[in-house]
Amino acid sequence: MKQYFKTHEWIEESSNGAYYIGISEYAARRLGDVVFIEQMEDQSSFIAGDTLMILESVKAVGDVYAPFACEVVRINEKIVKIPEEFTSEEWLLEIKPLDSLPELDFLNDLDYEAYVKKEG
Amino acid sequence: MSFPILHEFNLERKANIVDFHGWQMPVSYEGIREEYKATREKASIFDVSHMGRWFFSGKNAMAFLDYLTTNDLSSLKDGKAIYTTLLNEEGGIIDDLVVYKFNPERFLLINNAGNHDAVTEWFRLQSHEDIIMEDITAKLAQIAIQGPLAKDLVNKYLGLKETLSYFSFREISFNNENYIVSATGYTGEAGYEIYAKPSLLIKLVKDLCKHSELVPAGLGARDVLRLEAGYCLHGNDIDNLTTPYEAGLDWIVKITKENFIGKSNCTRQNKILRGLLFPVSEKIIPRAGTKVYDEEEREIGVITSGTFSFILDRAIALVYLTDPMIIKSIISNKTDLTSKINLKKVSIKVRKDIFSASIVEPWFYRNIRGKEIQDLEAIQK
Repeated sequence: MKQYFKTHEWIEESSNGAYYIGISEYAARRLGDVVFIEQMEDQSSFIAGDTLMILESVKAVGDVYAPFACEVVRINEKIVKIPEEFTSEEWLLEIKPLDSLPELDFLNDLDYEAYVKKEG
Repeated sequence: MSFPILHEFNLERKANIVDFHGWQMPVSYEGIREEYKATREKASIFDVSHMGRWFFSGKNAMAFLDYLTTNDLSSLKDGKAIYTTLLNEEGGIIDDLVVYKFNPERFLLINNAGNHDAVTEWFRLQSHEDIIMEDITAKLAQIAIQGPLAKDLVNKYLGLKETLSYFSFREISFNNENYIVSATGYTGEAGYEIYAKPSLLIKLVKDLCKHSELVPAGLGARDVLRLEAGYCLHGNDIDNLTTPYEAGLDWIVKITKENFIGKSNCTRQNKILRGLLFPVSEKIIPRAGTKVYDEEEREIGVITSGTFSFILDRAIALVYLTDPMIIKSIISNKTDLTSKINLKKVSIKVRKDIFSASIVEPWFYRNIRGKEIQDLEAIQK
């Protein structure tokens, strides 16, 4: 099941204690058509709040933030190559926590929906 | 808060709506790329009822407007429209306008939504008794239907027998209602803009959207389309401190006209507008405010609008060159290349990265009288 963050990312458990990370439908809609996806090539490990990836759309730039200290296990190459196929359903990166997962301030889908509504 | 005529339609279609100068405008419906593509390949509809509209009439209407605006209304034929600017005394652009000439005593003026208050104030300040000016923004709405199929679709719907040529317009009666159809637009595609009572245009849009080849499009697609065509957006690329000569709009200034407001200052050129074209390999969208550097890392200009050109598959931008040497070289009518600065090798910095680009003419793609495309060969590989 997907868990959401207030910075509009979602994570979903993959395997071996790793997680897929993507962005919410709300965030994807606000961003609009993504034309470039930039990876942070010079970095292998990240602390919470670091930018993992930059999504550049016609209208805006969106950062995908690391929800916790992590390393990138895999990148969704298909989406990086063909950004126009990006949707909020697609994962962008597979990340592995560097430490045991801390108590995270995440929301389930209903709580996230309510949060987004309140944010307007 | 103001609402364009298609607001309910936009809500039904779940458009992504934003505030645009106090108007609740759709950025996109199904996605910017889709709407862009429809406009370039088939046809799309834009709700442009947020634009300001005015009727000017009276015996001296033409002389009055000729004094207020930079282009030449006296030699314009009845039934034709022109693009023009409204200047302040310092030669700065208060707004860019389209003026329609019905006859020398009756005109329709279109101004930008964001400038409506400034334009209104300016008109009131300049007006005199024998000029009848009427703000008709609320009662005469406006939509744009643009793209290669646009004219045929509208001709068929309104029973128009002729296809209007660029910047021509007609007043027509259809089902005993009045419409103004004009071959104008802001997309670099052929098409029409239609003026009529709001209820008539809402019906027209709903009827025409039953055609699968026609889709509603929002401000997002409109911005990409206008940038590819190299059309300035007031507030981004031009403003009340910028002269038409700086913005490459000297072609709409009739400098030989006896007099008009701003005449003595409007030829000032402290900066010059150009295009910025990026190689396909540069994965960046240049944003307004980004500085442009030459090979020796000297700042030579600043970006005012940038986007991703879907048709050229690369980033594009409009940039003001501010380097005195470059300006001198361009003004003295030498090509950009004769300047010591290589304009084919400039760059921008975004975050920590440097992206290369080339300075080109300030337009990229148009398809109004056939396809015209910026010379891609000219840029660096």
